[in-house]
Amino acid sequence: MMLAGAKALVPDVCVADSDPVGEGEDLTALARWAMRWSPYCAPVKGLEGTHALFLDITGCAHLFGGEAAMLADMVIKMRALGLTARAACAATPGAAFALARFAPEARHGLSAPDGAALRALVGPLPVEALRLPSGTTTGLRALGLKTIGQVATQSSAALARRFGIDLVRALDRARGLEEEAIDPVAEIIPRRIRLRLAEPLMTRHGLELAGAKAAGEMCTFLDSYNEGARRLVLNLYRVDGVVLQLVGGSGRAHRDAVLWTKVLCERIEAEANGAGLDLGFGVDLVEVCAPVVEVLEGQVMDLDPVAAAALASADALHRLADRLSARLGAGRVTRMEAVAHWVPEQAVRQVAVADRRPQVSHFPEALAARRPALLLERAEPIDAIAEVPDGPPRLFRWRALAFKVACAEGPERIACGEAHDRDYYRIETSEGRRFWLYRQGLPGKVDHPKWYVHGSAA
Amino acid sequence: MRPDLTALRTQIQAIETEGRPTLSCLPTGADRLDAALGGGLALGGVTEVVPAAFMDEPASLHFAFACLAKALHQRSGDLVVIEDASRGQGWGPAWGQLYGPGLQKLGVCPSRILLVRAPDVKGFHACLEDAARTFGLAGVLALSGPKAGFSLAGARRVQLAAEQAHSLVLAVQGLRTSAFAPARARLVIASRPCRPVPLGTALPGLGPPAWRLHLERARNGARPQSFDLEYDDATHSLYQPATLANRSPQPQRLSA
Repeated sequence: MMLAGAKALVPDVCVADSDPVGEGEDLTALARWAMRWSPYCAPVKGLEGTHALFLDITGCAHLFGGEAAMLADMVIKMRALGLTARAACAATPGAAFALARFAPEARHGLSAPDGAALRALVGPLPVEALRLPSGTTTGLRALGLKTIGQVATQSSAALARRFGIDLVRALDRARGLEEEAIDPVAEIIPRRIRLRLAEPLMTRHGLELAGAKAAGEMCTFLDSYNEGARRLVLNLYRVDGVVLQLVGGSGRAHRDAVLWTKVLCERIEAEANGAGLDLGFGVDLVEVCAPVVEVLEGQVMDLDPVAAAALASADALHRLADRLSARLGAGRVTRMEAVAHWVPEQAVRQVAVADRRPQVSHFPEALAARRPALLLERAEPIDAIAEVPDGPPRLFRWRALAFKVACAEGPERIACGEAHDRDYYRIETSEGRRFWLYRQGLPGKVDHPKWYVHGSAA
Repeated sequence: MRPDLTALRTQIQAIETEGRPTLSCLPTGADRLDAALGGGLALGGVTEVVPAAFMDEPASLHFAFACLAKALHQRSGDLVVIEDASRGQGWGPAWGQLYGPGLQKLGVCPSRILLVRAPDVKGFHACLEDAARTFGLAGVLALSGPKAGFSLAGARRVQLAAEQAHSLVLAVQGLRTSAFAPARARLVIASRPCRPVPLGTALPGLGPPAWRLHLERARNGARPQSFDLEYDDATHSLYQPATLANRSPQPQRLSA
């Protein structure tokens, strides 16, 4: 129907442009949320105008009281989101798709049997259920083959010659004879604990309790595998089809439930204080996954009091670092790491302790002796009067203050490429303030070398 | 000191500590300063380090690291440095960031430093309290921005946390940061010209870094007094230089 025709029939009809990209994104978000039923979940690709999700529920159905109850749950939950959903469950994705789209019972969830019974169920469905390009289905209909059962009576060699091998494969898939791979929407994390809640959680306090319980179960779970987690992901499934994700990290692998609880609670608090934790109409499923795990053997307790104290103090520092990383964000809790680079500002790197274990760093003694304790982010230009051609500065002006140089040590020449070579001086002013200055450009090569302050407390 | 005053001080201290264990000290190495501080920097307490002028802010940090080098040498554990980064990256954009090689020169091993950048004043206070409460750290260094002044209650909480864990907490304040009321001592640091090393060049070489420390107030009742201090990079020790009479004369410019 043309838009003009529609408007004539219903004057206040609501019109919106079609938005395939937005619909695709929404479907992906819905798939993410549908991971509450099974982690193997993916939107079906290559469909025009229809939207479908595949879930591999192998080993999941019993958690929801069987296949029929699970399908009913899906239909009810989707309906609560304002979606019209049809669900079917069969031996292969192809058969499930065909049944869900075209079997009338799929409105309430249809759990199909296997084998010949499945083929009997799929047989009367129209050929559109095969998920084939419209050209092929039109061709089949032109030949009078209107249902899957009718197509299946033909010889597969003839069908392949006429329509290509895709048709034969689609037929086998729809009749439950051939498997199909699903590309899941999110990484499958085997270490996973979920808490299904009878009543949706609406408060932060409740969330923290649930997070603590899930973290505790996760730690027991990891204990049975002799593993410790470096990172835990807290997924909060909202009732209204949104999944919130919070990530907590640790500088070392461990499975201490109290510590993980603290880290997760810090993340919840930081999120609530920052962007605001929008729980919508509540959270009815809390999930904790451990995406990064390491083998963690039991530790022998050290009976030597000194060694035990050192161990306890290292442990206390780790806990502090983890807690602060969770509260402030990983990038704000760092350690320095030495980099073998001659340009001063590139000789040090900040490593977030939650990301990886920094190497023990030591700078060459001779180099360290000439470096300041504070380094400016960016060297600041100064006006300096220096001995010509290549002496230390005698007077300089920085930030509108004049300094007279009383003592100087240098130069230390650092090559940064022709016109950018630097001559560094450690200087002390007549008041006893120490700076680290450099001249950019070597005398003789540059007419008017520029001077910069690069550090203080030299 | 009059005896009744001493008795009163003891009485007040007894009320203040409420039976908590008496504080131990970390000697800085400069004898007269240690004597005035009652043995050294307080373990289980906050010591305030304040620059005398804006341009002395690097010097106050320099001095704080000189003290912490001693702490790292004598105590196990790591050093936690907490910056108030509410003004931007690093310890205020005015002076930039802590630089590993320079700290190593002072005797502070860079791999024993945990750097924490608090995004705001509230976070800075919470982190400092948390770190002060942690057992087994060699020291905690707080770098406050100008607006990071503590409320009376907040400062007291940090102090109590430090007492509990026997931590050494140095609070390096900005020039205009309000005072940390319950601090065990308040040390005002000013730069002082070093004793130059004659090298035969037009400008003499740099001697050991020198500061003038003014003990503005101390909980043990020491009267305000000043000390000249120097730091030896080679032995990593803080000391009082020889008195003025014994100082080497200022090198004269050699006439051609």
